[in-house]
Amino acid sequence: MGIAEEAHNVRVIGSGQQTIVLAHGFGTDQSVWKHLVPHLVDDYRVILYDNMGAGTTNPDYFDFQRYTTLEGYACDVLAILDELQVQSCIYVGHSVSAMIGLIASISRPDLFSKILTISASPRYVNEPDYYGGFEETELIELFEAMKSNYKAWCDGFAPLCVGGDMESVAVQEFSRTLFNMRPDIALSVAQTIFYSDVRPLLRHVTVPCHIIQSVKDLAVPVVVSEYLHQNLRGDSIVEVMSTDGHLPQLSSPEVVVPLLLRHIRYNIAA
Amino acid sequence: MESLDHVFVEFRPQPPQLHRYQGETEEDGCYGDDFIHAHSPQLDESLDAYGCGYAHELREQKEVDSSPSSLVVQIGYSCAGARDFDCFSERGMVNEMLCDKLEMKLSTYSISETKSETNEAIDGDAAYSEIGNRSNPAIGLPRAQDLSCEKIVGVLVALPQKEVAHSFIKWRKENYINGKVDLVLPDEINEKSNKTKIEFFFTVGVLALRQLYFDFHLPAWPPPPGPPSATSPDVILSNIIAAVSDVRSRNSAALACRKWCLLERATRAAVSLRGNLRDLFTVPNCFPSVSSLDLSLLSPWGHPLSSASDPALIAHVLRHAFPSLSSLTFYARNLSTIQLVASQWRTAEHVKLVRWHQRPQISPPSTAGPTTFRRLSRQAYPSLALNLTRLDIEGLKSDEIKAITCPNLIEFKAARRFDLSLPLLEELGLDICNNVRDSGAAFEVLNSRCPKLRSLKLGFFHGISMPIESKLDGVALCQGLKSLSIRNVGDLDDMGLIGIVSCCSNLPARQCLKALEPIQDRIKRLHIDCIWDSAQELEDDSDGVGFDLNCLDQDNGFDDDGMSKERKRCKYSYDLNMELDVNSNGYGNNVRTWDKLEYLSLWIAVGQLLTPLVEAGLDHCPNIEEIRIKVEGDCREMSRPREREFGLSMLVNYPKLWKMHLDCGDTIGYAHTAPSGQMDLSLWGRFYLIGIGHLNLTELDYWPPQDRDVNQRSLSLPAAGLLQECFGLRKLFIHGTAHEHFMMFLLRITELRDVQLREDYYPAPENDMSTEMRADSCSRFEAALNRRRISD
Repeated sequence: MGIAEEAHNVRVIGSGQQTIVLAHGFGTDQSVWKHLVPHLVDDYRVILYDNMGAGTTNPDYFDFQRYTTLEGYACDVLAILDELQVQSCIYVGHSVSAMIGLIASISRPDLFSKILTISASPRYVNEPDYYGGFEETELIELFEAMKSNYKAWCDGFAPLCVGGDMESVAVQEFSRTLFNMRPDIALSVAQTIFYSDVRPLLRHVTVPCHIIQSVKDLAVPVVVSEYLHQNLRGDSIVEVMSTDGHLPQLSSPEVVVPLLLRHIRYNIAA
Repeated sequence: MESLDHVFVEFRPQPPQLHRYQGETEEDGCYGDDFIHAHSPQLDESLDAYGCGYAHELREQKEVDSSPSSLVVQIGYSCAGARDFDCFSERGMVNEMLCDKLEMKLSTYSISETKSETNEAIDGDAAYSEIGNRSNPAIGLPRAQDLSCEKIVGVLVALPQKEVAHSFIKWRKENYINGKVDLVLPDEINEKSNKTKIEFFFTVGVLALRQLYFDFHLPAWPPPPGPPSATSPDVILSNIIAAVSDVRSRNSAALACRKWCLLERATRAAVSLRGNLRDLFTVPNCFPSVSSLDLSLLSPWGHPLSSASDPALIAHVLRHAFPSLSSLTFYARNLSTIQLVASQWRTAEHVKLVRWHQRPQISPPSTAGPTTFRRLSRQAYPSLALNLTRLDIEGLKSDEIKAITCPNLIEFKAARRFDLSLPLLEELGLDICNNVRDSGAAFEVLNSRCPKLRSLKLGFFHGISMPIESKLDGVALCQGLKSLSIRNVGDLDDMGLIGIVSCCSNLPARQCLKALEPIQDRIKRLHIDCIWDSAQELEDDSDGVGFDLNCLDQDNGFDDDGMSKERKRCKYSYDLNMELDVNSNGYGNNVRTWDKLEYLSLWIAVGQLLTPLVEAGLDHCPNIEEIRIKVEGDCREMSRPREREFGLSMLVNYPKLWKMHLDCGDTIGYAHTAPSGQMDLSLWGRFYLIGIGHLNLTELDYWPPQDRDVNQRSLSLPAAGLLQECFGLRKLFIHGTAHEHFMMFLLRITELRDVQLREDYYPAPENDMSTEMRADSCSRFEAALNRRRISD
């Protein structure tokens, strides 16, 4: 087993002509796909892995320098595909992993036949001409909570401040998963996410994209999916689901799984 | 030997200078250094066989063994004609659980009985290795009925090294309570021969000083005809060691000297292996007599044997290490494990496949009890009827009774049938000042005929509640009652009362406890549903009625036979050694404490606080050692609780509390995406665990709350952070999953030895993908745990 495979708890299951990569978002791990996987293994070769920094990975491997940008994660994805000698794959990315997939596809478009993004956002912070869902002040609150958590953790006290305690509902929604990580890693990751801005890169993405989004997602407003659709260079299609929450594949699998299967099986009509 | 009054046996050729004890006070005791060194080279070898991470409890002994320890063991006993062999062990000074007041009685000395009794005595504590014991078939002590002599008395004393002795004396002074420990010299045996104890001290190093008591009454001389070896000290010692069931005590005994080690190894029949699957090749081979091996608790928990890197090699190593194996227990969820075992252990007689994820028991339909019986009694079995000499029926109408034709019938009982329905009756008093027997069935019918009955007062009725196991009957099934008053009932025993009380699903805790006041100083184990209802105050009853249990209304459906469709499981359990006298008026005394209470079990609805417990009456419980808290409910329907914490801190009122089961496994919530205004499970986890660090817990079993939709029971960040504050914790079982870095928090607990993640619930995680803890993560954590220095 290769280094990247081992470090990311890579699992390859199922068999088929096509390969599907399932990439989870922050605060979760590959188990977030548990409802989807059984529907895929008969027809596809499915690659599952844990993002570096996820609770299931060795925290010692989390390189604080490497993961200050999403490019660090994108390199990981490419390394995994390389080790598994994947020629081409359908990439299903949730939350930040959707952006990671898009970034990876810019340097190696040949590896991605198409990308499905679920609850994805290129930029979380509001700007005069962009609505990402989060105000600067809300982020300050989030970072303060993270810092006090981190400080408590360094001092040997219990980290007690978790996402649900914060005032902003949007921050609550997002931080719920973020606080699932080791406090120092969570702080680093939170900063990486909120300081990242993938918008300038979207016009370099040529791979077809299926943009899938909950109608009510406090971390990602629906307008963001429209923004992606407008700014991606390649073909793209938007489907807004009647689901609620940032993890629809977990909270509403009965809606999400058939929809994902449809997007996996069918390509965007020419 | 036939006229023996007492025997003193020395296990060492040179007894120590025991007289040095004489005349010395405990404070200025001075002991020479000339005691015999009992360091066993063989023991070292055998202990070296343990690989790292293996069998935690054994490793502790290894640590101890590295310090010079010496022990002189002497046994003295005198004989008399007692009939029973009792032994029990108590916790030693290291505040370690040896076993839960293990008591065993070996009334005779046949092998099978010894074994079965011992197995019975083993507490169902799967955490530590369980052992069974086996007597040497060649030996056996005289049977009790062959004896006619006076009591045997013996004292066994271990004399430690100078510093050990000092430590012992200090410990004895500080910790020992009952003064049962006597250091008895050989010269004093005569004087003390009327004592009834033999006392052991396993002194293995200063810190691991442990003690075992054997209260035993050996069968007296002369021995009956039999093998001459039956009465030799070795045989007795072998039997004694075989009777020790607690693993840690056995390990201590094995460290005493070479002979003890040999005897211990020869009598150890069962071993339960812990430690990591990948370290199994280092399994010790010093237990040749083990016939029963339990592999189901290996780490990573819930991984089958076949998931080892080389399963065949592991199986081979195990077979080599345990050549006498006849019984095997292992975890299995797939065919490959069974195939592996089948190929390697062809001689195994008993194989137990463990699948931890038991589907919850579906409660039997409520009509299975009396109704079934009723149906049966209505069946016409002509041949049966011909042979009947006794007939006990209930629920038949008078014309049906007339139809019974049993020519050989001698005894006939028929319960009164309420043919007349009183659907509007709410209050009924029946006190006919005349004894009415077997009235239980009548009250069941009463319940069906008078659905609005709310208040019932009974006098001189017997058999009102005679539950058989969990099948409730009689007045216990009158679920509409709000008030029940019983007087002059002759046969209401503990179980009957438990049956009644267990049906009072909404009985406020305060009133329950009030009702128990007359017997509260006798209760050892208590379960109480924490239903706080301060509005309902118990009215003082001054007319001598012992119990007045107020039940709240419960709108259950009733079937045709008047049985409630819902039957509650029996929730109340009391120690049955206590006596119950409902006719005594127990309300006279003002200050009552729960002096005997050792085990408290609580059920509490989600969102409710623990804090009213003291107010409700459980304020002074000086001897509670173990507590089990079951939190149940759906927090998805609840808003954020007003209080920040559940209230575990209040348990500091119980100074001896050292063991806790905190079961939030049936608390349902959102693991990931809680709607706005609601708390997700991490916050609920925090709510329940705040304050746990204030308790001086040694053992904790924690069931995290769950999200059924995603089948997730994961230790959250705040939960991990709060658990790490339990500084004295030695044993922690989390019945769920946890991320690696959360587990790493736990390394801050310096005393922690034994941690396992157990997904022993239903449904099981479907596959490896759905668990937060990968096997590698688990191994890294265990490695970190085992790397630490262990203080004792």
